[in-house]
Amino acid sequence: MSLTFFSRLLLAGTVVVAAPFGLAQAPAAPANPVAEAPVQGPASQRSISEWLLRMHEASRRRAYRGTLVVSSGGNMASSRIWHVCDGEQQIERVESLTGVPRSTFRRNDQVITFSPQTKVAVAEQRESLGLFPNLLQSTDNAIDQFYTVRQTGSERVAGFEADVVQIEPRDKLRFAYRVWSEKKTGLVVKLQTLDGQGRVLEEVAFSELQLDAPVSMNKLARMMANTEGYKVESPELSKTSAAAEGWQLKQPVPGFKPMSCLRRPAANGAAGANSTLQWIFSDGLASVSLFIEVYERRRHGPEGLMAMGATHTLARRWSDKSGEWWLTAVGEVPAQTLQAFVQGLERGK
Amino acid sequence: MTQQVSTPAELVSALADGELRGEALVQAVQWLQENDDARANWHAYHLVGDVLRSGELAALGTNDAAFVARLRSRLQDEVQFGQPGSDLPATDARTESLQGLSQHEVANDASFRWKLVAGFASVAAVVVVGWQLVVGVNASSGTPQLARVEVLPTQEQAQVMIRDPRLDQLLAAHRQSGGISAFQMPAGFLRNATYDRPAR
Amino acid sequence: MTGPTLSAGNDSDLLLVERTLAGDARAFELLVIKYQRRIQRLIGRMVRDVDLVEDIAQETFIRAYRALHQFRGDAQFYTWLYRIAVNTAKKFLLELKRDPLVTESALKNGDDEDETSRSGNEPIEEETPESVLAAREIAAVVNAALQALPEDLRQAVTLREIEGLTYEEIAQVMDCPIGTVRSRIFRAREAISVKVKPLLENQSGKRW
Repeated sequence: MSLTFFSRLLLAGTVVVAAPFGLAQAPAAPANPVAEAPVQGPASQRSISEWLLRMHEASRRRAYRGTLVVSSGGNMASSRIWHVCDGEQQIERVESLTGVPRSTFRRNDQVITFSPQTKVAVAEQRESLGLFPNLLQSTDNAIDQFYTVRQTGSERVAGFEADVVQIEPRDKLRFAYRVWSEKKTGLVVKLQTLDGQGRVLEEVAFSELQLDAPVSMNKLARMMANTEGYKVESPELSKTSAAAEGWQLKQPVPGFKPMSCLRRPAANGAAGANSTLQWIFSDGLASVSLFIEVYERRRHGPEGLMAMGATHTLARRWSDKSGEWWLTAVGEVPAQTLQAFVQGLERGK
Repeated sequence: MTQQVSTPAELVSALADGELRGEALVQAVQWLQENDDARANWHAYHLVGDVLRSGELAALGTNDAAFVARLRSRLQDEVQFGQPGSDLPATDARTESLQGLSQHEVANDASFRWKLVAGFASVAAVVVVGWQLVVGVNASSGTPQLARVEVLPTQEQAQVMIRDPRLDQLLAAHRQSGGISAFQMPAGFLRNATYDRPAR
Repeated sequence: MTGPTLSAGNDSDLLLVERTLAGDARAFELLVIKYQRRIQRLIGRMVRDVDLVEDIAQETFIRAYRALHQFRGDAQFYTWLYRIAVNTAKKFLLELKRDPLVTESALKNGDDEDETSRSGNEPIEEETPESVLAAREIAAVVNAALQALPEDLRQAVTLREIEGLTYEEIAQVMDCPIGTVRSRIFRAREAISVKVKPLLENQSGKRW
């Protein structure tokens, strides 16, 4: 099955297609929000991209609210979620139920996080959120190349029947995923990240869900805009390129394409203008950030490999004739993948 | 809420009462560490409080500076945090607070706890992809061996947990800009908004 | 906001712990300065010898420093430190085979709050006459300075230090803005400290 036809539809700038893939049909017009997902091929024959697009579309077309539970590395957190969409716009609100109180709002790729305790609101534009589904095109179907998909059955989650879909990596450089996709809409109601042994590293699931809930977009929009009493901060990031910064990977890590490169202000209040470079890669499902800083003995160390749920971190010193650097590789990937990145790093002449 | 204009000394007083938040909190601690007089105040305020509550604590107040000076020189002999080689803490100081970590603790900490999978004093050897470090949680086990082993520790191995605010900040940056995944919508984004903490 | 707390809120202790872990040993010293007296008094209840009390207190802070990685930020730092102090003292006593000042059953009541015990001006036993005098002098100066304060300053600092109320609670009691509470407590502390500091400097001549 080829996606070129589908890709061309995307390039043409049409509304994201929910029509059957790879078939000679015009894209379906965006249905009203309460319509079900358009008819597609039988579940058992869907490709991985078809599954992913269906899951993505589901959240763009429905309003829902529920309680989400995240289990990661032996810790749990939960939150209350509201989601509503209206043609092109979607708004989400996430209220933390555990830990430090915080409210997160998202409108498309604009995100603002309110911290009631510190009275600080952090406003960001997260380009990474707007990338899908172009992702399928930009990674040259890396997802298909590096993962397989099969439906393994059905299960009920939060009162809804869901297709259970197993996404397996074709190599050891990435993790496996098990996705519970609500049968009618495709909405992801549960998602597990699994290691090479099939152990669950992390799980995200709705413990309670109300589809097509009466969520008011106006109310959420008003709440999101209400920053009174809060100090609003916007992190200063500047786009750059690895090449411009003098870095390259002598050997790409299979499947992972460079996505973007950013300069960030110094972390943790370090004195001076020691900013951090963040070089971002993705294979379509997993992503890795390579953080590069000028090495400072006072601030940096110890070296090592750390894990929290599915997220692994490799931190080490790196030096060549250009100087001493501190690398931190972070990603939802196995340790060896991070090692591959770190080893492949090279400073240009 | 209007911001109060205060002298640094007044901030130290408020800090001693745990009444500072956010920016002011960080600034006050910074001030304390850079300024001798501020630390003298920190000591005096706490001493006064202790004495007001119980006169007998006054007996100890005369010796405070000497106590801290003695401790300071001993601390310098300790492995410093944030330095290479300090990754594995001594285990003889296990306290009751470590007993029976439950399987699912509520993640209500202001900062994350990371599981230390493998610490190594220096990454001298070039590690080829496909070879992985054997997990060496016990510092006394010597140099890490290279072997073809799954890196994730098995259940039997001791879990050393660390906190690293710097790492938490990088994680936040990774989530913010780097979480590029087909799963972002909705699962990935919701997961981050639920689980993550705003970086300080 | 929870009820009255006599020890400072978690936030400042936690921030100091985090800074220590990030490599700033001075942040740990600030915690030591804050809790050293309480810890020494706690140990002093278990151990008779004054020099030993200080040794055990030193050891307690060293152990806390080493174990700082393991501190779970969801409990109070002082509670965690308290347990380390008790365990360290017990170990010392076992090793040195000395009889503790108090009995085992008293040790088991280890979670009574220091702050609530108002034992007046009893000095710790085995103190030298000079240090006893010095202690009495400090206590006398502090109390005299407190009484000499203007009423609003005295009330504010008393509500904070002795009653353990938060700024918000004090603001309600005194019917004034929180900013005023903060300012009054600060000025009260300054007024008392000014009189006490000379007594402290004479003793050891050490600088902070």
